[in-house]
Amino acid sequence: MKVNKVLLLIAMISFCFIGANAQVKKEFEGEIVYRNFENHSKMVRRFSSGMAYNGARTVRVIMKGANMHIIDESLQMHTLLLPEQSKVILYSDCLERGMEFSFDAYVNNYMMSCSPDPRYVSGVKQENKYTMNKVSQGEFNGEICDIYKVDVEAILQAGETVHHSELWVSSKYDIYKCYWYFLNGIQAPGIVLKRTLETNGKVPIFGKMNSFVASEVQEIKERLVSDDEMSVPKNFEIKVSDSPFKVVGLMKDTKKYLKKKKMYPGDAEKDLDVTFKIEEEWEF
Amino acid sequence: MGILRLKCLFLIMVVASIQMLQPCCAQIKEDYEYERASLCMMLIKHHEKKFGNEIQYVFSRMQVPMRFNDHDLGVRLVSFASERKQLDNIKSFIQQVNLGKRCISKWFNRNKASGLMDMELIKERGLYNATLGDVNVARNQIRGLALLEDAGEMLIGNTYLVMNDITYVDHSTGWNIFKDVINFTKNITDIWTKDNVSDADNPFVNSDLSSINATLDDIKGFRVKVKTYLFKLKWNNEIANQFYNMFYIDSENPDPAKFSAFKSENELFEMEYVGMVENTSTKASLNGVTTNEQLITKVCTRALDKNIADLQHEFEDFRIKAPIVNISPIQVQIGLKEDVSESSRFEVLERRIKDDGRVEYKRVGIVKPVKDKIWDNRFMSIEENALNSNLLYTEFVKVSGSDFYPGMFIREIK
Repeated sequence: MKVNKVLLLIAMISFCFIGANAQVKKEFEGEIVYRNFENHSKMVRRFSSGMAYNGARTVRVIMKGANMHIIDESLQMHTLLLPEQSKVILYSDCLERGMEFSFDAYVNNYMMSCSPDPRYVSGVKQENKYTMNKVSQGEFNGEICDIYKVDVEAILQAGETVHHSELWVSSKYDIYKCYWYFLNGIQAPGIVLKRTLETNGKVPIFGKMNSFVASEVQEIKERLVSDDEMSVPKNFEIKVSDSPFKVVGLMKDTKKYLKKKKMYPGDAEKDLDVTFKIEEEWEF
Repeated sequence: MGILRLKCLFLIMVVASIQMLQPCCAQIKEDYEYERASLCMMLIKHHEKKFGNEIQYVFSRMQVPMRFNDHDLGVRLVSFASERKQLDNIKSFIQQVNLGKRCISKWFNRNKASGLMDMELIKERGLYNATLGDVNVARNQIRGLALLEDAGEMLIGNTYLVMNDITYVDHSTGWNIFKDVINFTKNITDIWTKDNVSDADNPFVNSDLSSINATLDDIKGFRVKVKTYLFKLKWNNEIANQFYNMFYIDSENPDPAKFSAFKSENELFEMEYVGMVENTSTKASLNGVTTNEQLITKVCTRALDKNIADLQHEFEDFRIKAPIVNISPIQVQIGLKEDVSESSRFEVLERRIKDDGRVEYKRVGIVKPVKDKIWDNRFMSIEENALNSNLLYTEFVKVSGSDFYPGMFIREIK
């Protein structure tokens, strides 16, 4: 009888403890601004329809519940991930139009290349070899982060691709899984403050497709996000499409527009300060 | 007041060093080290190029070449998003990170947090002996001032950025295209037959050389192309005066205004572009090499040494002076690493202190290397059992001049 009482007490304390933890850590709502350094091989730039360029990129990620709004400020492109409505909407501020796709079809094609979860792309099952290991801890902007190394090997019909990533993850907030799509499917257990993603791929005949992206948080703002921020501006025309591949047209048109207005970041690089990246610390 | 004290301290150190500088013959090592230029060596990192990581790995473990002071600033690797015009990239990088100011900060051992500086590195590299500080400053003031200027020119004004761009020379392109076609055909077949053929079954897969795990035999043809860009820190009396008056603070004279002024300064300390050389490494011998890392280190180190030597051929300011250590026969510790060849010619220089205290070098003759007596001092030449790798000196014969003595310097002439 006494034993039962003790067990009950332990269980109650445990529940309280879990409850207290759950109260302290809550899912993040607000916005995170990242600044990227990007370097892509010619083949990647050519195949990306203008989305990949060499230079700096600013990306704002707004999170509200399970929904996420990714704003590529450099290309003025928006990606609205609305899993509860089973749709993804992409739109361009420049063109004032966009496209809507089925959630699963879009994320499986474009936002899960590093995921450990199997997915179907054009009816074919894809599965990656995925390893993620916590290797150490580090401090970034005064915050202690867990550092993870992630290796992903993807064998695709069109060739093979290897991804190596290093993530500096803050455990200050919990995150909705939707955030993983922003990380190409890498399942980070919190908000990533700093990361590198190196991708080495090969497409038969065409050759190598290599990319290096290093990204650092510029700002994290926890705030209430309005519903308007998770929707398309009213005057924008959104076309519903059954094939995620049709997004290429929107991307090409965006690039064309930006180039015409001399606003395409890949070109602007010529006139602005050169984008560089160093990984070590200056001693002086 | 602070500046005066600083200058006095510096003068004491400089003047005291006269005693050390004058007896050249007895102080070969010291004089020779005093003449060293200071190098900040950096590498342009290529994320997307073959062997980029391996090259980066061996570079980050390389020492600054002998006869130079290491002016490492903590950052040795830089990547550029766009690689269209590397010279423009480097110039922009130097400006954005204010590299000239960082070089100065290192010279004066500037504490990042407090901004306080000291003269320790200048003392160390200038071989000034602070314990001789009770020398009569006033009596030697004229000489001291001149030496102060000389020291500035010889030490701080001899600071260089050597930015290296090393890329693997890929000879396998043709074969890879052929292999791609085969694999592409195989992939198409796979789609239809669902036949699961592992890549490991492909006997040619290692010829791809995609990782450092390739066997040594695979990479014996490893070659690199190296472009080396040379920049020199601009330092003259005007800049020196501005620096001492407006920015220098130490523990005895901490001045928050000067601390802030130095922090926000971003125009005064410039790096001037000197020039660029480019070479492709020759095929390295495998003698003495047992690992991939050794081979890549050997190829890269030798290629970099060759570029440093070429920069010295090309730009007089960058040429090192090496001391004569023996005169019967004339022997100097330079060799193939410095690109000494039978056709090289060197002037023999005598170092003199003028009445006003300045150091001058006077040509007193010309020497040339002796055939078959050129020291092979290239990286791993001993392990390779290379001919003349055990000589320790290169032997020279007189072309003109006389009365050479140990402690005189030789410097290459065109």
